[in-house]
Amino acid sequence: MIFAGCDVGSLTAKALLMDEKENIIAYEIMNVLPNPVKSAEEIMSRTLKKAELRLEDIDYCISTGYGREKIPFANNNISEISCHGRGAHWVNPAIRTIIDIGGQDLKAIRVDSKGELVDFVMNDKCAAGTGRFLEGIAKTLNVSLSELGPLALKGKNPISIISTCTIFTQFDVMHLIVEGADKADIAAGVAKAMAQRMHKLVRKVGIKKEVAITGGVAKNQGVVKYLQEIIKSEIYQFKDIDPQIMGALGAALFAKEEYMRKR
Amino acid sequence: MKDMPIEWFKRLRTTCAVIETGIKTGATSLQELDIEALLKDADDYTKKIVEMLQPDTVDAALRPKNRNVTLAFVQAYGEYLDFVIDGIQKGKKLVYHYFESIPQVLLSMDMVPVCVETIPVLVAALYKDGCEEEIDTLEAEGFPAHLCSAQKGFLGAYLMNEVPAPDYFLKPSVPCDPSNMLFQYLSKLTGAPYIVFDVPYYTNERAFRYYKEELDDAYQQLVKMSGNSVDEEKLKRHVELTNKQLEYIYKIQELRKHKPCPDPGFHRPMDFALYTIFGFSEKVVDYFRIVYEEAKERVEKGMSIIPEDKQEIRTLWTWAFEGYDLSIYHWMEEEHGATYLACGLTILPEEFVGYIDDHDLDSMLEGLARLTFHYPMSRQVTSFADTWINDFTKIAKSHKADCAIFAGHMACKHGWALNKLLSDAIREEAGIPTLRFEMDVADKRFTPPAEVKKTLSEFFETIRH
Amino acid sequence: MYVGCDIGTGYTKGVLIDQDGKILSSCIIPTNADPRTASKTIIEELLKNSNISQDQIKGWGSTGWGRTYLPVEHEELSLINCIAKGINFLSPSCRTVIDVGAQHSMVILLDEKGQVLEFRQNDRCAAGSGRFIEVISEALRVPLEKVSSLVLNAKEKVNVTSQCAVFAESEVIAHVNDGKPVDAILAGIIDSLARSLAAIAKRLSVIDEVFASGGMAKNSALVKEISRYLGKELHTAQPDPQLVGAIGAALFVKEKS
Repeated sequence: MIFAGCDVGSLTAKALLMDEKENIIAYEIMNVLPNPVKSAEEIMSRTLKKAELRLEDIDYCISTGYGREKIPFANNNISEISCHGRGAHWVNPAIRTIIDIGGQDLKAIRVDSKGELVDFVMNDKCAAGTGRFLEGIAKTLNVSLSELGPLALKGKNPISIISTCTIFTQFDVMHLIVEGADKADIAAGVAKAMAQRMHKLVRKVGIKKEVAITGGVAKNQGVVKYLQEIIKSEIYQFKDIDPQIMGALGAALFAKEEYMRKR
Repeated sequence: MKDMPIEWFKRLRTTCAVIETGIKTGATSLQELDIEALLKDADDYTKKIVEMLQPDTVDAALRPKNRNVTLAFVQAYGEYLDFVIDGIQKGKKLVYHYFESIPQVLLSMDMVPVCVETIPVLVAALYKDGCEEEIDTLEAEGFPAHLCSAQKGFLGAYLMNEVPAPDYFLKPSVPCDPSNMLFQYLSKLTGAPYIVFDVPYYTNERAFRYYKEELDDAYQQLVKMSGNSVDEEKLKRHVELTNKQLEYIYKIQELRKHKPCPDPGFHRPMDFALYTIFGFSEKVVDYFRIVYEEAKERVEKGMSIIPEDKQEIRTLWTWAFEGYDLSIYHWMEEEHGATYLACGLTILPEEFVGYIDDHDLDSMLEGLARLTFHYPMSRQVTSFADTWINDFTKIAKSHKADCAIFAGHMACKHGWALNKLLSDAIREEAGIPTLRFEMDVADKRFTPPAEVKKTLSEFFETIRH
Repeated sequence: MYVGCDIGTGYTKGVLIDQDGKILSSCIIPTNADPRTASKTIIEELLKNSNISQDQIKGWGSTGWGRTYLPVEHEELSLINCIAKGINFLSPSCRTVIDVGAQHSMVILLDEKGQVLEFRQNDRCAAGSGRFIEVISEALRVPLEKVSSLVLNAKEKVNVTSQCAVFAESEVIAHVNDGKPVDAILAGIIDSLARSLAAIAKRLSVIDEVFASGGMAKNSALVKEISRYLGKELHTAQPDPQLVGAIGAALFVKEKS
């Protein structure tokens, strides 16, 4: 049997296929198209192609993320918070706290030993602390998003970032460059500021080990490093699976669950 | 001897000793302080504590205008902490209480009173990481970030085994509902009885009589539960000391009318801490005596606490002080010539409090009730806005303030609800502007010290004469 | 002769005044995150345009975000004080000034002498400042100077709900993809900014006469909308609202000498 999860975010769209034994068959991540339905159709098509399957082969599909109610091939939809929590917990059942950094939001999720939602808090009013923040800084520093993490790790003296606003920070970074500041130190300062932002939010749900970060920013080793320093403990890092796929993974698990329940 | 969790008391005690030694070496700044020599024979624990200290605060403490007073403070508070640690280890009854309380009575009942509000503020003031871990520990239990850091810090410390469980918890219903509820959590965790005395909404005589009954009732409950009774001679002694302390406080408040203000702002948080052990000992009285004598000398000799080239900006803090970076008050004087006239956490109006009649137990309880009824923070949060507003417009005029600063502790919702009325009234009555900013009194993460300085600097630049 | 420089995050402004306070020369250039170069250029331009040499200048005043970067010996002044001073000189009847710059907005209450009575500022968030409009107009590929006239002539207004400039940018792109007209979207953005600026002003007090200053005051559509939300007439500082801070700085150094 084939179960599918589809997660359309503000910057990327993700889809995952698994079988009834919860083996992951395939997954894909792509940048969104202007229309969420089109994004979902496209990402699902790519994932199916990778798995050499067709849409008809899917027994049940859950959609999550932006515009989840509009996805035509989904049997049902579930909030991304639940999906992220479920997905992360499935990978490592010791996880109790998840910080999910989306393109345009920042969420802190607490789950119990069963992976069920205990509490969550979200910031979706301000871009600081979201994927957009790092994207803007990367652009200003003239590096790609994936280069930002390694650059931050090289920084020996992280430059203190004062502004809390994404746009103002971009200006500050431009000015620092004019004044000859080391780009690695700037990247490190930005990673630190991001970590501080994440900490401020996750405190509201209480930090309980194991702590994991999901979403694209989890791949930024600079942010991981500084967050570990702040919370004074190790953060669980996803090894063989992309941290960005957690939402789709959780959705697929929920798909299997719901299908089995309805049978 | 019981192995009690007394880490916080021990840490503060060691810190007082370290600062005392540091001051006695004669260093007048952090640069001059030979830390190596100081720690030569020190044990590992002491070395660890020195590492934790906020260097700016130590620097401000060593400055000539602050050092004598700081020395008196650490000697007084250090002696008190010895008493607390000794009492806990000897199994005396430990009573946690809140800011407005009757430590004099508890002491004469041979109990150990500890004000839970003071300790986290001192921890936040003295150490680089403050009580942040304690706050986070409590929040992990399910409490939000928007509760008072002083309260969270103490509860977190209990969860981290840094302070012991009390035998009793004595709480007035002021200053706020959150404090009433939050400490019930501690009561549940420890099993200690939670005794509350109600402080009514008004501040008139009818209200005072009601309050006195409430306080009497609470005290009776404590006597009944503990089996301890008041040693009247001991109480008389503490009341005598209280009266002496009050005398100096009133005089100091008067002296601050002088231009320039002769009393450094760095002292206010220390005043706050010693108010919570009113009448504890001679050393506590000595502290206030030295504050007074130094201020008096400055007035008589025309000495100033601000640099010669600075024009004085007389500031009136209409609510709290920022408690996580004590060097800021010294910085204000040096950088901006800004002096500190009074604040909502330390004003004691003589006309309402007066002195305590010590002729018998009843008169002493009455006097202590009156003192606590008009305690700073307590007095302002009860009654209509008039009390708070009148208190501060009065000082603004009598002490010729140039500006007001509403350092709004973010958890004090009642304060924030009042702030516009207060600043409008101060503008109307005294013609001065108010700076309003948010901060969390015992957690620097909310508004970091650099940001506070920036905000204050911008404001001071717009004040002219 | 005296020079006042207002080195902002968006633009660097300079004025040269004589002993009577008359403006002999003025200059505005983008800062480009390089206040050193920008202020140096301003000095050169001011002197060139008025045919005056550097040693004829009796005093240099600098203010704004980059005030420390002025490459001559100068007096550093608070921007709030300079705006109050400047507006008081230009329009003595002003009691409230709303200043909107690239990365800040502030409301100042002043007395008849130009002394600051109270102020509020927002310098935390791009949504209350010129950058908000800049980011959106860039996303819509509309030159900043055209925004005002487009908005004034717009027939409808598209509601923009995001409070954050970065999110508003995404929202705006979505509207464009939905086929909404650019002028209607811009009208929605201007409306959003005007509403929040009026709210800050009202939280303080709005006492007549009310003036707008700063670079964004040149956007007459914005001024009109703020006025509508205030329920009061909002005048634009003349001759150039963007020069108010620099004028104040020059006046301060003139006074001190």
